[in-house]
Amino acid sequence: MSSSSKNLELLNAIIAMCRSDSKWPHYFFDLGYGVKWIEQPFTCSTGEKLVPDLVMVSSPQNNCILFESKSGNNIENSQAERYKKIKPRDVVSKLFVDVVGGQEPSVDVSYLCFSESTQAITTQLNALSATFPVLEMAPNVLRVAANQFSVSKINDDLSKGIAIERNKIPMGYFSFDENSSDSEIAPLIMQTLVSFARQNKPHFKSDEITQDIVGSLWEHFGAGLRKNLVNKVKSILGKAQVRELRGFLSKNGPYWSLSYSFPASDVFPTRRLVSLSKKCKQFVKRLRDEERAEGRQLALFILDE
Amino acid sequence: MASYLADAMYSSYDRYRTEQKLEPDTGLLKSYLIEAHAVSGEKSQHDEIFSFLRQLAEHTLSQVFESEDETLFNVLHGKDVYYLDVSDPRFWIMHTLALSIRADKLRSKFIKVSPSLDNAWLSSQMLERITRFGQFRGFGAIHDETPFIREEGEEAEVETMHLRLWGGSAAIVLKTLRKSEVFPHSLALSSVRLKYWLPNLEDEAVIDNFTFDGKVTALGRSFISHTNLVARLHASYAETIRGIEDELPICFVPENEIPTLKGHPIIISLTRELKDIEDFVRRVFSSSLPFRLWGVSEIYDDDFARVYAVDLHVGRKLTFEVAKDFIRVYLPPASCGNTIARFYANIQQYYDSGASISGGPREQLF
Repeated sequence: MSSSSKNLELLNAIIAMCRSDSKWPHYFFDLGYGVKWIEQPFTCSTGEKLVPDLVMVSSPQNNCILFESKSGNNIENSQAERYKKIKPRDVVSKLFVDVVGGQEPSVDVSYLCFSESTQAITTQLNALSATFPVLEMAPNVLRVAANQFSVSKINDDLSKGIAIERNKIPMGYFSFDENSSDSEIAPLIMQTLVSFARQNKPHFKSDEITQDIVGSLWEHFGAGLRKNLVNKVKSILGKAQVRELRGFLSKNGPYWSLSYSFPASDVFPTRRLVSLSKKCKQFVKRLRDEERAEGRQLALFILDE
Repeated sequence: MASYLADAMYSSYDRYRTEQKLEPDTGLLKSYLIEAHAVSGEKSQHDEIFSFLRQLAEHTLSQVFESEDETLFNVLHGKDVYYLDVSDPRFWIMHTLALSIRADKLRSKFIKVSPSLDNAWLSSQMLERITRFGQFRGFGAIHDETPFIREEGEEAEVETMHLRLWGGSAAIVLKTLRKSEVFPHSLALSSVRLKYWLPNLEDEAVIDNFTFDGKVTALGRSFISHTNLVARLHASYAETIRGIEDELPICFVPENEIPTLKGHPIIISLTRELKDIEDFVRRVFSSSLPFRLWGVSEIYDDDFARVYAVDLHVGRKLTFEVAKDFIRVYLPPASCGNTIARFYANIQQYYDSGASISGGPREQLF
């Protein structure tokens, strides 16, 4: 599993807590929190740029939480220093967070990490005198591991912890980003190809399929991020067309073409679809195997060094 | 159309009462609720639907005719006439006096030929609510676990079961069966029968039989009572499907200039644990009937799977997460709510009659 997907796990776990879901704790949803921005760059009143991974806002609590997810053991010192300078008026003027009853919202910056990294991250934050609440995800519990949120109820509840199953995090909100590995993105691409075939859209450009995969977030992504995602998808399609999906997928100039069509008189061409499904799975498996092999080679290289 | 069907219904019911048989080559009045995606907004609704029906007719050896009412089309198939009411362009009602065997076959053919059409899928709970429209007079329960039997000779709790009871004691029998828990996972209602009449028209009662795939068969004299019941089913079903499509898809929408996450996952809670998630996923997402879902899956060690699926009905994507005791579904924007109705109704019919479904503020979607 890539470090990107670990970051996405952390983010999806929190996003899911802001939705109504009877099989995952909906703690933040009950407190009136909603998910507002994802990876939105903005400039503070001090002129410094920040890109929080996730912004959550609750009008009932008059509070805004900016999350920075850390799947590893390190924080970026300069980033933490910039976060220290953030003011309520910054989130009101730049992230358009509402002012409730004439009062600016309280603002928290929270570092989100797995329990294996809590100590390292807390130590580094302490060294910078950054008192950001650290929210840690252990295998069976989510809790505040260090410092305090502005909303005392969150501190009371999350210092005890909320039961979760870390291996069953709902991941349907934010499925991939520019750092996701090929094998993590490939199933989403395969799904979209079949969807296009079914909807009789046999010709498409790389940016069209990427937009379809990203969904409604596409509108809110900047040009740089969009370009990176399109290149990623293009590269995976390129790998698929010369191997497992040869004969199904081809490229002519900027357009990709699907040779697969659903016969008009038969919407259940089961055998052909099962065969396609197998090819898609083989492709994803090959990508995973290649990534594992690359990981092993890298590990050996580091040992040799 | 209405007066013809009303007369035919009246005379065929009289003959049925006196001679216990129907007119030759004619059946009872049937009305099918069909979900359709035939209108794109490019032309007038009438023209788009007419053009769609003409294409459909080519593949089903039928003929389509316009009528004086622009929301009513007549379809001729063999000797049988079908009256297609498209006044709601998304949920059509097809009336016919054709024999069941022929009418069912044509409806299936329509759906097989066109991915833009689907049955209405009524959950057990919805069928039970329908009984409250009138007097509950009977029920059928069919459980067929064949799609989930892994090997020949493998023992299932209940492999297949066909249960049918007509009579005034239906409610008591159903309650007793449920209470006894003899079929804890296999007692999904596949049909219900009820007696109904409009206020002050008790002599004009109709007995209607509703099946879980959206078919309503009328027995009785009153066409108006029958159409009234069908209209109530249509309103209730359409409202549920549109509610799913409006409230649950997961998407970021601008709200006071801020991209805000909307929507909620749909949760199907199982009362019967999935013993082999990989096998379940393989069968459900095999592209075949009754689920009509294609999927590429990731299976995790700890009894959890994620499936990137496509509904072969409309070609829309949706993502499933499958655990031993629940299934979570994420709908993207512009999803078809009927996909969820089909998935849930068939899970109840084929695997777990006790499954419940929630989403967002709704504790039981259907």
